[in-house]
Amino acid sequence: MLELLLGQIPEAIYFALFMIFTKELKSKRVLYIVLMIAEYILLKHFIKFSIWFQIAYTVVQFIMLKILYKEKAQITDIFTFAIASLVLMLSCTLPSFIILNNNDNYIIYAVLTRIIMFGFLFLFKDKLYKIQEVYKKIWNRNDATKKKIKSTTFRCLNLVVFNIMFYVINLGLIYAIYYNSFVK
Amino acid sequence: MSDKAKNLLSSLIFNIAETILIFLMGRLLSLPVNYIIIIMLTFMISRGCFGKALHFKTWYRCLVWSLLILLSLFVLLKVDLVVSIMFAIFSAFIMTGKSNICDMYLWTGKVSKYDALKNFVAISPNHPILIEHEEYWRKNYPMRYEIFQLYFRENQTYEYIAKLKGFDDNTITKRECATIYSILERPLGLPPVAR
Repeated sequence: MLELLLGQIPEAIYFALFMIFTKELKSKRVLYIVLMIAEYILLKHFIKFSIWFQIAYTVVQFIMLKILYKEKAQITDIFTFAIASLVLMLSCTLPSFIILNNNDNYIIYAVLTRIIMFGFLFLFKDKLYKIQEVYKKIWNRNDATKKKIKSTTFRCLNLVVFNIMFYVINLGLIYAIYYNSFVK
Repeated sequence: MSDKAKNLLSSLIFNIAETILIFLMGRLLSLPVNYIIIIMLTFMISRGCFGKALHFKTWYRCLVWSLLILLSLFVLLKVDLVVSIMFAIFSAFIMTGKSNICDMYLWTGKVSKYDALKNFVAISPNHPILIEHEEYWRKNYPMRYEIFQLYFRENQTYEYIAKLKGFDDNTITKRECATIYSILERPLGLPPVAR
């Protein structure tokens, strides 16, 4: 129950809010958040501690975005979602070095990571839409306009970060399993 | 030897050298030969199947980014072969024109007779002719400007625009869209609207 309240639900809300702010979604917000929570809990229930969970969550959240917002959802949203995952990874990893190494209090750790996570959203909620702007501007190839980074390079960069991210997530999961089974 | 043959030969040599380098990189990560070949073939074949592959203009960029993408897929091979194959297919899709933002708008299955202009706006949003017309409409025809923004730039529906602007029906929007298309058809070299 504690894991559900401190772990899964806030994470699902975080992902939903990140997408809402980034894509500037105005309608069906509550429905989207509720569906993201339901999806997160269901997937966590069926796919425990595996890389497949992150893959399934990425795919399902994109499908849900497509169903709810239709043409407003684009392939680039998968990468936007990856950015949200990266931020989440950082906000969970950094406190773990400080708290979990010195003190085994999971609750303090969970609360602190949630504060960082939502603090990030609160601080950057008015700036997150810029991510979408960057994708809109750079994603498609257009040689007529001068861009800071070329479309092909931008896509490659996204792909490399995206692929490596899943490897890092896998490492994180292995560490978490190790931590839960041996250290505690 | 003609220039065409020379180009073909240099391109062939480059591709062979690039493939060997990628393979060696996989071996450097101590991956099994058959797995390396599976991932390389999956990426190459999928890219070919999706069509309209994106290419770099310079050979060194192509080499560096191909190495990096395949390296990331090889790293994923350390996790699972199936995961790596899935990501190879996804990576191949992203590296084609099929993953352009405008193509994804076709999800709803609704085809607009103004799709040519919608696609043009999505691919070249800052085209000088578009900017020039937009500026003119903004000053002289604000309604046309707003409808252009909503329908062609933001890809909104007639119903959404009618609701937003408080129109009784879609007549005004449809009329403006037809006018916008007819104005831009020739300067942008768009195909005639299908009647």
